[in-house]
Amino acid sequence: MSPPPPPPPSPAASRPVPTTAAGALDEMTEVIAGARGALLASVDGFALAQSETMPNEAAHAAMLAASIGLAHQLVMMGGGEQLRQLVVDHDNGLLLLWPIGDTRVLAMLTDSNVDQARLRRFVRSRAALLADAS
Amino acid sequence: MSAIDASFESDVDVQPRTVGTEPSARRPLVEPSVDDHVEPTGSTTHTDDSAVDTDDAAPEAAALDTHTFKILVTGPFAAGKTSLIQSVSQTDVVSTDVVTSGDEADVKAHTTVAMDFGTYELEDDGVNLLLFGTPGQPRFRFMTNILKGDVDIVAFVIDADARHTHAAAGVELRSLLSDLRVPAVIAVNRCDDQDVADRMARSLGALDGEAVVPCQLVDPDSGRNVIVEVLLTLLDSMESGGHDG
Repeated sequence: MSPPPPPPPSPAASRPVPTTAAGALDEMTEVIAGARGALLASVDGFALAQSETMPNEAAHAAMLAASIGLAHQLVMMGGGEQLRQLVVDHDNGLLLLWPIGDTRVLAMLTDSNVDQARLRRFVRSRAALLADAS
Repeated sequence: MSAIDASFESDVDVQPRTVGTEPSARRPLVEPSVDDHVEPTGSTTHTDDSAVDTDDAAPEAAALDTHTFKILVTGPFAAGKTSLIQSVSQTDVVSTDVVTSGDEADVKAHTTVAMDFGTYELEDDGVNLLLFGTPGQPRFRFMTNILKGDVDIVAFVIDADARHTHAAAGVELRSLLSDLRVPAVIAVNRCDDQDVADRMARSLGALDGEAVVPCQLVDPDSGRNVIVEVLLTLLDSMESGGHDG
């Protein structure tokens, strides 16, 4: 089994590695240009952690859970087996959702021109920390 | 997928209660072909055959009616909504069950986070039931608001043993029905006694005219009894003009 990919280089390299989910979400929004906010929720709709920049709205976690729940069904409609990402592309940017393990959902609010590949690499590098959040 | 091969014909005779008094209205209805446009919601879908002279075609058109009903299956958390849909659906149930966490994990291992969807068809009568199940927790109320559009009837499920949920359920039931203005069937799960179920439903604010069904939704036969009552209530509503189907 290959080790997880290292986090992206600077400016993250100069930061201490976060030890909490909230710290990791703050790190993402600070390091990735165009990332505005992040929310980690359980798949059954409870907020677990969020970046300081994320609007605090109780219904958001439930909405993420419902969206991911439906997206899993849409994967099957498409003949797939595994949901990788859900993208909501709107007039004010993007809402990107990723399943984190089997029990967590990560959402990020971003600008439309965010570097999605870099964002995904960053999320992957913090996935273990996020998956263990409670 | 539910392997249930359910037919109401042996359980209940719905034919005499079929809407309308014209002979054509009582004729068996033809199920739609894949080319027919079937509205996802609403009461009645007419197959379109524009090449037919409409003067002569009225009885035939009526015979081609396919009645599609949207049923909202709702109620409190862990009441048995998903069990109801899974027990009666003739097609693979679209389910959004996920593992529960926190205190809810002490109640049950999985919960619906977006919707359940199942179908039931009475082929000979051309009746299609579309069952839309909601999550039960208040934090998912937005899903109920999405799913309740254009419903024809509400199947409101409560757990007779979970009395701590009844007060909030009663408020939700009355609020929902005053908003939707459609008939309702109250399914009292984990209950075998009609009198007990009636009392429980009335305590929730169920009206005298609203059907109450005691049921054990782990049992598919019991689930079908609920659906039978839903059908009868729909037909009653249509006969009394309270429904546009």
